[in-house]
Amino acid sequence: MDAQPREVTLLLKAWNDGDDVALAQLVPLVQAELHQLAQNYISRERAGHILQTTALVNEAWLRLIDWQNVSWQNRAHFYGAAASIMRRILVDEARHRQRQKHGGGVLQVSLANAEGVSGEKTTDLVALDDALNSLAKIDPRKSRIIELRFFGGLTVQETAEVLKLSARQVARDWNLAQAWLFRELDGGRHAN
Amino acid sequence: MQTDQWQRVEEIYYAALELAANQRHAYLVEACAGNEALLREVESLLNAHEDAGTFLQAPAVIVAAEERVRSGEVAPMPTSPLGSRISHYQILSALGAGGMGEVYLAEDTRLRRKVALKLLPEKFTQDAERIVRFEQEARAASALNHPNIITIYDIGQQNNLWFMATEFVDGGTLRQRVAGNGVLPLRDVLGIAEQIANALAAAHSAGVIHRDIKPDNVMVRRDGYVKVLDFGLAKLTENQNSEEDATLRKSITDSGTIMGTVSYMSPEQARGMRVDARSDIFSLGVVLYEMIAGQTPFGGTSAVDVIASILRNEPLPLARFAPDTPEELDRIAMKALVKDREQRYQTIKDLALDLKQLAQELEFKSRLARAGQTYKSEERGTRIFAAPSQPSAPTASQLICQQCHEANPTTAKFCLNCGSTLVARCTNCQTVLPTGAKFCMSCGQQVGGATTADRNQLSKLAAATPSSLANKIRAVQPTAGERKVVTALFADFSVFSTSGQEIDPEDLPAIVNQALDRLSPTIFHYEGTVAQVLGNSMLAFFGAPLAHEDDAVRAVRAALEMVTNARQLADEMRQTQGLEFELRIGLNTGQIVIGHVTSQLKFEFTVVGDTVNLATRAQAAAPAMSVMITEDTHRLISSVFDCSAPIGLGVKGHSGEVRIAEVQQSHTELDRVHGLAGLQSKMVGREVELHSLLQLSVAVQAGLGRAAVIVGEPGLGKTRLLTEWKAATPDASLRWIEGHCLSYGQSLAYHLLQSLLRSLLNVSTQTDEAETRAALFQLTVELLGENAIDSYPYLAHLLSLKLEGQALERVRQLDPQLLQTQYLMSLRRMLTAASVRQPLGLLLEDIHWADPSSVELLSKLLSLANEAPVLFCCVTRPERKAPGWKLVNAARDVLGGRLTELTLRELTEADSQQLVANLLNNATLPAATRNLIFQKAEGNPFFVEEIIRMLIERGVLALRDRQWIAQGKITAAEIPDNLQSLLLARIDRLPEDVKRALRVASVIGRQFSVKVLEKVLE
Repeated sequence: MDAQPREVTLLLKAWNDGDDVALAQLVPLVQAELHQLAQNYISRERAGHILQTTALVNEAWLRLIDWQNVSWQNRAHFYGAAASIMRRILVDEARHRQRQKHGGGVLQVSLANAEGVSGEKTTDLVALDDALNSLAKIDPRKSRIIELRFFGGLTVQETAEVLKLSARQVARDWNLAQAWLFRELDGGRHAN
Repeated sequence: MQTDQWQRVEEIYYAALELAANQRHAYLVEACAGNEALLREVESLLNAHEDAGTFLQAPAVIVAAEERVRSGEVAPMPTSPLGSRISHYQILSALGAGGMGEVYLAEDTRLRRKVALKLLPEKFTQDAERIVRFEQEARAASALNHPNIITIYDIGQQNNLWFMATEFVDGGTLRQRVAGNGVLPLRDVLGIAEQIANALAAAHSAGVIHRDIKPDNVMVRRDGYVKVLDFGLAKLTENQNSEEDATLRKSITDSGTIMGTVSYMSPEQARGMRVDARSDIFSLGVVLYEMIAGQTPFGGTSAVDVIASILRNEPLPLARFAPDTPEELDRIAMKALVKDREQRYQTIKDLALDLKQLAQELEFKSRLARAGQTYKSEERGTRIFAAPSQPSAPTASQLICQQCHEANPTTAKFCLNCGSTLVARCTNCQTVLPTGAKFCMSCGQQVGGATTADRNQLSKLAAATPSSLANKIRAVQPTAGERKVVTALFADFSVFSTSGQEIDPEDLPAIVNQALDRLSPTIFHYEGTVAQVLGNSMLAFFGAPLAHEDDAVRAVRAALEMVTNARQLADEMRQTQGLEFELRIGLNTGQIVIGHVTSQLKFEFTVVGDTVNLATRAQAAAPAMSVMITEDTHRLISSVFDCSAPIGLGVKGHSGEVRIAEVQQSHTELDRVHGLAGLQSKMVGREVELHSLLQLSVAVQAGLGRAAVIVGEPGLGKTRLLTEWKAATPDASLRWIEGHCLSYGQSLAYHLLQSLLRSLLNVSTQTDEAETRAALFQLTVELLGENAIDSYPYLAHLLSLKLEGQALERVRQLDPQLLQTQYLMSLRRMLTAASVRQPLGLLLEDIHWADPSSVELLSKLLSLANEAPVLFCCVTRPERKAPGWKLVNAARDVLGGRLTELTLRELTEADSQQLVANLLNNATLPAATRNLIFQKAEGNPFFVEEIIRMLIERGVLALRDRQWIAQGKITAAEIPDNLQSLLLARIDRLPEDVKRALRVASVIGRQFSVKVLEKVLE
């Protein structure tokens, strides 16, 4: 069930260097890991563990990528690539589900906060993807920060390192980008 | 949106965020200066911010995971566990089922080893109280460390499915053995019963009662080893007092597995009374009975019948089923099966002892029977037992029978053993003496004593000691009264005329002279010493006063060379004098106590035990021109020389027989036993710990800060673990920085930090000051650029480097407290900057010796792991009162989930076995040797290695055909009781010159310069 870390690492490198064939091979491996992650997630939740979701995602990346063969200098690069691939896979998956539900009714994915604070807010990964693309047009850096944090599962500190920014800057950008996207996705209720 | 307008939005948004909510609108109106669109944009974003809450806070993969669960793509555990994974166990195949749940063969995917995975039935695990009991029992049982008790690796649950992972035993249950083979051989019965009893004894002394001893709970490995399963698990099927009757009734009505259990119940169990350890004794009695009789003692067609029988019936005598059952065995079984537990065996140890004694008795009888046959085959004439062609002079104070080699008192006329006539001859003039004579009637020589001529010969030989050897012996100056292990060489030659005529006694001294002159140089050549001359025999020691690590090999080489020389001498004598000359040599290794060594190199000695006697006995059994050695010598030299098959030699006063063998030839040029220094094993029993550490390094490589605390008693392999860890981490991925503590370093302020900083600079304490300063300057500039000046002076001060100018000014006015703050900040900046280049692994070794000032500062530095890819690893002994322990506590407080704590425990029996197997290339050791190693080493890998090293040095283990073999017996007393005595014993067995150097060095101090030592030793 475990993806082969070395293989994933090489494919990710290749894809990042522009090899699209690598993507086709990469997707099932990452999906398998996602499946494992989901399994871990559900079993831990059932066992009543308080979930540190960031830790869970970190673990997934630890398993997925053969970090021993990633030079330290390339690490940021890898996180960037990893976040991109995750976005692509997850959004494709969501799009696929929507299509399966014939009328294409928007699937509302619960964003119940896993750290215990129950949130009623829902969002839609496909819509989020579109909104992120729009955001990229006016502020590519903020769009990238959301990609790294939300899809890549990075912390503020890690995101700062990848983008060579200060942690403070990342936190500020995150704040505005979160508000912007929330407004976009909330169907304009907050517009005006 | 225009970029410049977006920038305005951002500015106003952030500025407004700083304000309280009720002031924002006024601010916006002012800041937007009439730009309505701008105002709406910012305001809507601020509102969105207020409402966004946890939006996007949970990572996308978690969102996806929830969706997968909701859509049913990720299902809860499948109903049949085959092929699935529970926790980190991949289930491979079913092994069986029992009342306690289903058992599967599974692979531990982390450690890649096979385990038996028991899944507990849900009915047992629904009840929270039972789960608590299960955990308690499993914990108690897992603490039982005994070779006959199955090792529990792990218990846990996944999705409310409770499991227990245990050692996988490759074999069948005793149930299968009993059912398959019908009646077991008596020897197996006793062996199995005794092993079960030993397992129970270990459990009982730990307060654990098994409660369900039956053949299904006993695994018999292919090699006959027994493993008892499921300690205490039976508690799960029981209920608390009030419900016990109900449970019992339920048991009775259930069929199948429950029925299987009922037959082994003790009467008190069947009555539902509280059980104690004696219940297990009864159950074992039933198992024992069944193994012999082929059926259980209390039968019945239903569970109720069986219980009635347990409570009322007396078992039939075993002889009914197996007529050749020893009476004693019947007695043992019946005593275990007494209904009143007060009348039963009271402790399992008593039962185990009875079983053991019976087994030994039976073994002894069968050996006796076999020995009879062996004796006959030896009678058919092995040359070793053939009498020498000419009687040799008796040389010791005992008369040795020429027929059977029995040692008889000098007063004996006939052999004590075989009744042959005993002949005594004078050691001086060969006259046949009447029995009981104390002096020779012909020459007045004391029977069994040295003559004046002998004493003169000895002096002459001693004086002939080559000067190089003489100097070495004088240099050693052994302490009078020191015990020494020596190989005693006893050489005896006989001379007789070919014509059968008596040799003229007048001619004898010249002949003896000639022989000794020819033979003794060989002894000196191998650095042995002549201890005694008695007529035509000579005693030499190898190992005293001058010891070598290979004295036994030297002695054998000398003996073989003496035989070669003797053949030449015999040829010469035959041709020139018409005399036949024969030499026989016997060797034995043992202790002597050495007395004063005179300047003429003569010394007194006291023989301990049979050391010399056995050499003379081996000599007496030797054919002409041959070398016979005893087993004590044999095991020291077997890797170097080929020997005949050993034969037994009855020796009075010796428990059992002494085995001797004839040395044939040397089969190797090498005198050294292979592998003495090179014993190596891969790391054993630390796979889990290494795995955890490697996960940490991977995490740090991935940019996450981590920390580890490794706690372990000395010798448990802390350093080894670090070495393996470092080796398994690719060089480029982590930069290791190491700080070491000194055992006397607690009073040296900041010595640990200095050590750490030097490691960061790649300099040592030996590096001179200018170079150290240059390295520090370069690195601070490299890492901190123009800010170097904020750190450099303090770090230089920390390393006690001389400062000048501006740097000195910065440091000068600071008090120690402020200085410490500056040290901390400087180090922090340096490490943070260094970690950006490459993740850092900071190893802090032996922090139980750390100085308090370093500990205080490092405690504050730990939080670095929360911010940067830095891995702290503290290695310490479990000394909670040492200042260094504060660092452990600080790590717990500061780092939380980033900290991994590893406590190194003693190796399990299985791991110790593996270690021994690795060290000795999978040699098969006798159980006694193995047990002694485990018992003495107590799971401490360093001790295991050292004990094995000692056994090799002692010759108990020897290399033959590249295979380690155990030879001879070891007694508990031979094994030092702790590391200290182990080290002392090791020193004691060093070559004398090294030992002396060590003695002198120890006087100089803990550390010493080689030059000083050389001076003193000169």
